[in-house]
Amino acid sequence: MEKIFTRKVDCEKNLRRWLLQGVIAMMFCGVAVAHGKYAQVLEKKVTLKFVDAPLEVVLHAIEQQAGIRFFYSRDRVDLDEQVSVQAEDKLLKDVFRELFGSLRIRYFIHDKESTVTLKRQKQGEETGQGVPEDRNIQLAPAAVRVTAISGVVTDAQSLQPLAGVNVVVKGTLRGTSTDADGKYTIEVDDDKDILVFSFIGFKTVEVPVGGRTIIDTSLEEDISRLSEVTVSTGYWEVDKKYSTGNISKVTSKEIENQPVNNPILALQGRVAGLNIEQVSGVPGGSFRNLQIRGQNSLRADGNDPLFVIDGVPFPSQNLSDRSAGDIYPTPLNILNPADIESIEILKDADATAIYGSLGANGVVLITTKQAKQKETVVDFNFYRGAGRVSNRIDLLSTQQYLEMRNEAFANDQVNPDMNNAPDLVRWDPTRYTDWQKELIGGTAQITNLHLSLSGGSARTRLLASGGFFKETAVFPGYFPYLKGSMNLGASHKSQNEKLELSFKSNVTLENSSLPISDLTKDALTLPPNAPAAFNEDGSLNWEGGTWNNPYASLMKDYESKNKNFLANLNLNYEILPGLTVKTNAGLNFLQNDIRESTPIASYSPVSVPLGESRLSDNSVETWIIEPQINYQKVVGKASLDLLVGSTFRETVTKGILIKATGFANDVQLNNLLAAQNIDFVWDKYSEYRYSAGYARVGFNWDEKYFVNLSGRRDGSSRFGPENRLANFGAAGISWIFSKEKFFSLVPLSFGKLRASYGTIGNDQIGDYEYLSTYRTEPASYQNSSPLTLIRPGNPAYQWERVNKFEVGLELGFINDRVKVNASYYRNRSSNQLIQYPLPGATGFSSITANLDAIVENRGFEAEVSSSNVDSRDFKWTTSFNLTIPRNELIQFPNLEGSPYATAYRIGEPLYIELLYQYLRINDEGMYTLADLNGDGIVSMPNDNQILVDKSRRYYGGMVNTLRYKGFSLEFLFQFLSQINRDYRDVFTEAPGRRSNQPTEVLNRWRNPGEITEVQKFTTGGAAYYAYDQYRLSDVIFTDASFIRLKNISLTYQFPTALVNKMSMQNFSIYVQGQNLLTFTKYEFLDPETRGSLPPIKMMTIGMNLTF
Amino acid sequence: MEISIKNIRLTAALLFLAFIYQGCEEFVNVDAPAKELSPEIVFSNEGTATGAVVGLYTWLANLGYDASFQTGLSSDELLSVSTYADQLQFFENQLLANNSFVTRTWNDAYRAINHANVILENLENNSALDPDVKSQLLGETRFLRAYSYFYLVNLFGDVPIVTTSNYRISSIEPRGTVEEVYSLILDDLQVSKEYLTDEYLNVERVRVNRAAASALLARVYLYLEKWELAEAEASVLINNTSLYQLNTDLNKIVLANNTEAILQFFPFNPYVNSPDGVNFIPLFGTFTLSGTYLDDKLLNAFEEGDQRLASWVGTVSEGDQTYNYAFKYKIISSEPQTEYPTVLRLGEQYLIRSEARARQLNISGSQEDLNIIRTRAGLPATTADDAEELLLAIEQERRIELFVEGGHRWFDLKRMKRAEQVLADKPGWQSTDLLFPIPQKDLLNNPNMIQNPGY
Repeated sequence: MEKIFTRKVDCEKNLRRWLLQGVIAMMFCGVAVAHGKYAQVLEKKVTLKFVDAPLEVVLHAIEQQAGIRFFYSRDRVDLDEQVSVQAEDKLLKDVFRELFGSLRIRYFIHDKESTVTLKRQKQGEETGQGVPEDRNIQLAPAAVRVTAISGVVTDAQSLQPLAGVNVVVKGTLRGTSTDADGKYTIEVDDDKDILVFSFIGFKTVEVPVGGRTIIDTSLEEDISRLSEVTVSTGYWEVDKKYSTGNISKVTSKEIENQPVNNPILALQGRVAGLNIEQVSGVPGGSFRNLQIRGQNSLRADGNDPLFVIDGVPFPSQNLSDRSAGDIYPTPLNILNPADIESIEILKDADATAIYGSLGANGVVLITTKQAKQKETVVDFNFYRGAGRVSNRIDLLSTQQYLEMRNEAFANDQVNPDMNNAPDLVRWDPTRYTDWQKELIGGTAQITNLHLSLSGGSARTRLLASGGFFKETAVFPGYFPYLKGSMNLGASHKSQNEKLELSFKSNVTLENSSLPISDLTKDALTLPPNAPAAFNEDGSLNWEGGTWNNPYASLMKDYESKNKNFLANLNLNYEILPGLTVKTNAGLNFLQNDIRESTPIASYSPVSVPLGESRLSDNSVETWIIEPQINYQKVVGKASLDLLVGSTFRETVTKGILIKATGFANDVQLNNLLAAQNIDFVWDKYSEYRYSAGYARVGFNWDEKYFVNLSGRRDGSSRFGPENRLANFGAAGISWIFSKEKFFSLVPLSFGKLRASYGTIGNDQIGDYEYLSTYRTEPASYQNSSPLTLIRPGNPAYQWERVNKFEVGLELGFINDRVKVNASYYRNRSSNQLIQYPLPGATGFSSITANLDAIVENRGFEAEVSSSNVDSRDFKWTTSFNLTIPRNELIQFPNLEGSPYATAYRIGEPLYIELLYQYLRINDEGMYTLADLNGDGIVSMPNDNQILVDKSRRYYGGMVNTLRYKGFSLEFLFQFLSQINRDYRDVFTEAPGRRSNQPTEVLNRWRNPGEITEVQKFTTGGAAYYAYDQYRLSDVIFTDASFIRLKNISLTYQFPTALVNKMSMQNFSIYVQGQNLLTFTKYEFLDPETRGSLPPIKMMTIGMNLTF
Repeated sequence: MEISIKNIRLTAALLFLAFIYQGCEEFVNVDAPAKELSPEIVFSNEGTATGAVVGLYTWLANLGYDASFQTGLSSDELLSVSTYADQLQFFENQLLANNSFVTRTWNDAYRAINHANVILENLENNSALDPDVKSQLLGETRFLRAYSYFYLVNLFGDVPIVTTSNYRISSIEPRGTVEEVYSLILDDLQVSKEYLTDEYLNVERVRVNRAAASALLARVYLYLEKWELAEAEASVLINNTSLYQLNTDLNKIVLANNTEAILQFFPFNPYVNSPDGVNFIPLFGTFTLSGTYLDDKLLNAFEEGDQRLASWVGTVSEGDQTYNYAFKYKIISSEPQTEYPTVLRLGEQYLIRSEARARQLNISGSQEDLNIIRTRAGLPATTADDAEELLLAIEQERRIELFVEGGHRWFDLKRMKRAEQVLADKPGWQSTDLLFPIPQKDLLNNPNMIQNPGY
């Protein structure tokens, strides 16, 4: 108080100002009013008498008398401003009106604490309302001795500075975060204050100030970080430990460790319940059976999970039917793994019901990166590598091959001649070509480059990144697969933090020039004495039309260009405390442009050498808008979270395929004008519309008992007008029993039980299937355009439904060092929407219809993570996942009479095949199969009754991460147990015919009485048919289980001190390997890709720099 | 005032909520597919209704060729150098139920039948179209349905008789007997004759007219051994000399709109003249897409001096071997197309009437018709002078005149009960091979379907 009166007073000047401000205050009705329950504080009475005192002093006096505290930003409120106030037992609100009105200061009274935040009003802003709370202001108590504390926060293990660590003064709202160098500054007003340092993935540390002004600290990584993981359903987020549903999350850290082009491939072996099979090792390869918890739908193409990238649904089906390398370019290739922040896999009813009809097969949510901190960070990542096919097999040598052929002709008592045996009569019998080496023995090169830049201010952040990826194939020649991507993301918060906006966009160009066909089959089956591929003049050698030169297909030109544009805008506005309106809007444009040409030079002389080009141009455009309202309320121990929202979505799919023929020469194949003839093979357009209203109620009591209800009413244009709308919903509950008192005796650090049940739908069928319509054919009959009926049409079909049930147990032991998450699920899919095959006599091949069949997927999933060693220098963590799935066809009315009679059996999985029963090799040296119905001939569908189950019996993966000082080693083993076809799947020709064979065939039958596994060599006739049928028998199935060292990566992070000298934040180098080892009893190329190009064994070396 | 502002915000939130739920149901009403037409629209307009009917022709474009190619291998006309199993199965008389060629033939025919049924259902009670147009379209549709059933019944025997577009019925339709199928064919053709006129639409002989219905009817009566009726229908064609006359030049029998042609299909694929030309004619002196050549047995069957050998058989050398191929169609591609796939021609009608007359013991009438064909081929008059000899002579003449054309040889061997005798020396031959197998897919998907014996 004494200080105040020592100040120099200039009465006149202050009086003038006082008067002036009074006028202004009246003009603006300079009143700051609070209301409702906050008003209690304002009813307090104070007595003040100040003339021209600094505001700081006045505020302090009010604090003393009213028992409140003021918070304000020093740069917004001028504490030295001189004010005069006269009050005797005046209501605080009146004092405030007088005092702040003239100063144009707005105030806000906090709910629980008796604190008042002050804020300078903007010029011209009207007053008269409770002032918004502004959490972002650096809060410092007024009139209290303030000490600034600063310091650096580092990672205890790597000693790297940690950016973005939250630093809070315990028990206050004051907080800041560390900058890119790990530095922070914060003000405390008491030596007894405690600073709390927290950061996701690290253990929280509390440090008492104890009179210091510099406090450096280091954070230790929290090995039980799983508990801190937030998982998202796309509509709401929840701490994984509080979640009632089953959501697995894979983060960028795990994805980045793998030198793969496709982020989906990086999930292999990492997520329980997620099945991914690689089709082949061709770059840009697609997947088979990409399924979450098994096949729900009898329809082969109705089992894809829903893919959502930053809120926008993304197509998973191929855009074009034009393939290269025998694979179809999947749109999922388009994403650059380096741009992905996380991938969440939503499995059970609780997590997926909010997606209604789209969530039946689970949901894969992909979130791209967004700037994390305001400091400028430049991150550069680069790797290069090379790879080869992971396996080859032993095939017959020329001598063995010729022996086989000659023996076959002798067996058949046929003389080889030019027609039936050019390989014996015409070809050079001394020639030998190792076709595996020739055609698939090359080296694939991989290069990846990624640069990202992020930064911004406290409220506005930006991230821009660009990536380039290139992979070549193992085939002879140059067949690059290229991908370039650009991202831009921005986020902004309004000054009062009520409005939040985030925007992300991604542009990707993908360019693939692969051979038209995978040459693996040629590599295996071409006779070893096949002629030279080229003549001396460089043209293809057809050897008088006696063989199919594999280089012909390499001469065919294929170029697939994908362009993808993805943008998403998210607006969030807090309309009242706890009540937020939100709108998510997004669009996705994906275009695929394929040009395929067959040059004249590639034609065999036995065919019509007309140069041909095919052009296909397909696109999918989706826009989505999702307005939502969210309300959150905490009352005592109860916490409520309400969401209502809706979705409007439209997807337009277009496609044109043009066939141009009659090119006079090969150089003009790319110019349609040079074609004599242009055909429009198709011109497609379809429109899909989808809308939904949904709601969710999340409730928890004391963070111990959780209930989550969600429901959705869906409408989809894919159904007949009568059947467009349907309801779906789910309920989930969980109980963290480790929080109960009676459980404190049990040695558990965490224990949770959860359960969920719900119904989710599926509308993955084509558009307009309910209509029977005519299509104009691309031809002209005389002068009319022919019209043809496309489909039989069925307006009656309805949604397919899946009832999902799950119970789960989550446990943590030894301070969460060991965590177990086990689930049992049972999904029943009914009202099956299928392409019901029709007999040809109906004039159609199939019709879309509901079938009252039930498919059940049940199983057990476990995810275990443990921190085996956790010392300062050495850390070892293991995570393991296991899935034991079972698929069963529960019900199928009149299966015997249905088209599926030969495909399925009630009580068996959908993955079965019905096969002939192999008996033996008979006295004539031919395979014999069991004639089960005894009608004298072995034929379908009566004699193929042996059931072979190709289901995966169990599968999973194990990741070990070892860190020693700067080194870290991570390796992932993927394993699965299954049976599948052996080499005879690919060798379609009977041994003895004009196709090479594995050396196994040498053990063939020659004389009666011999017991062998391979029948006599043959070129045709009865033994040939016997082989054909034998390939449909049970005997060609074999154990195709394997354990694969899917991925290994070794990283060395240079010491911080050294890196800092180079003014960098991080510098690391790494070596990564993909598919390096496979342990299997399977004797053919690869148990996963079988007869296609095996997975590439890839080694890369790279570096990562962060500035 | 304070409360009202809160209320404004709440109202805003509620309005937003209302917006959320507004229009969900209407939103999912999509427009009719932009590139497709509903049957109502198609049959309310002459152009599109015609489009639906000509669609039938395009689906049947391959049926005649497929039948000649497949049965040519199964009988004694064609040999194959192909190693394609599905092709070899014909040649070796070892057809399997999943043979892709058999399935294609079956599906093409039934697709046309279903399409025809949809057209007939939509034309019945149709008042939007001009009655003359409607009559022409009905006649064509009935004819083409009969044409489809003709091939089905002759290749497969008993087949499901589908006369509705309702897939629920057709998917469980059991096989009807051969007699029942023929009675539908006869009904269709007779009705078709009534609807159609004598003139060809748009001059070209690529749309069915009344004469075409008579010509197919003549063939059907012959197969049904209704000699008198067969003779009468064939006479309609033979007597209509203002429209139909035999080509004197043997090289002209498949030229577009030649005087011998009764019905040709318009080659709707640009450049391509006929599937026969594309598939049988070797390119650049080597084998063709189909990989077939003529059996020496057929070549040896040509009489000395038969000009058809020179005109209709081509020769190609491959290494030190010489192969002969069907050369009735001489052009693979041209613009404009000059050869049309020929479905019915007058030459066959003379042979039909000759046989019908021989059966009715009208020996001289029979000889007369037969000799017209022989004379054109540069051959002397037949020496056969009783019914039995004449019938053998007619079979021989049909074998040469109609070789690798629409499946005649195979059908003749069957109906004349000569297959056993002629084909017995083929390895793998069984009498049950006379009927092709019912395609696997129909066996699986139609609970009432049964397979032909021997498969």
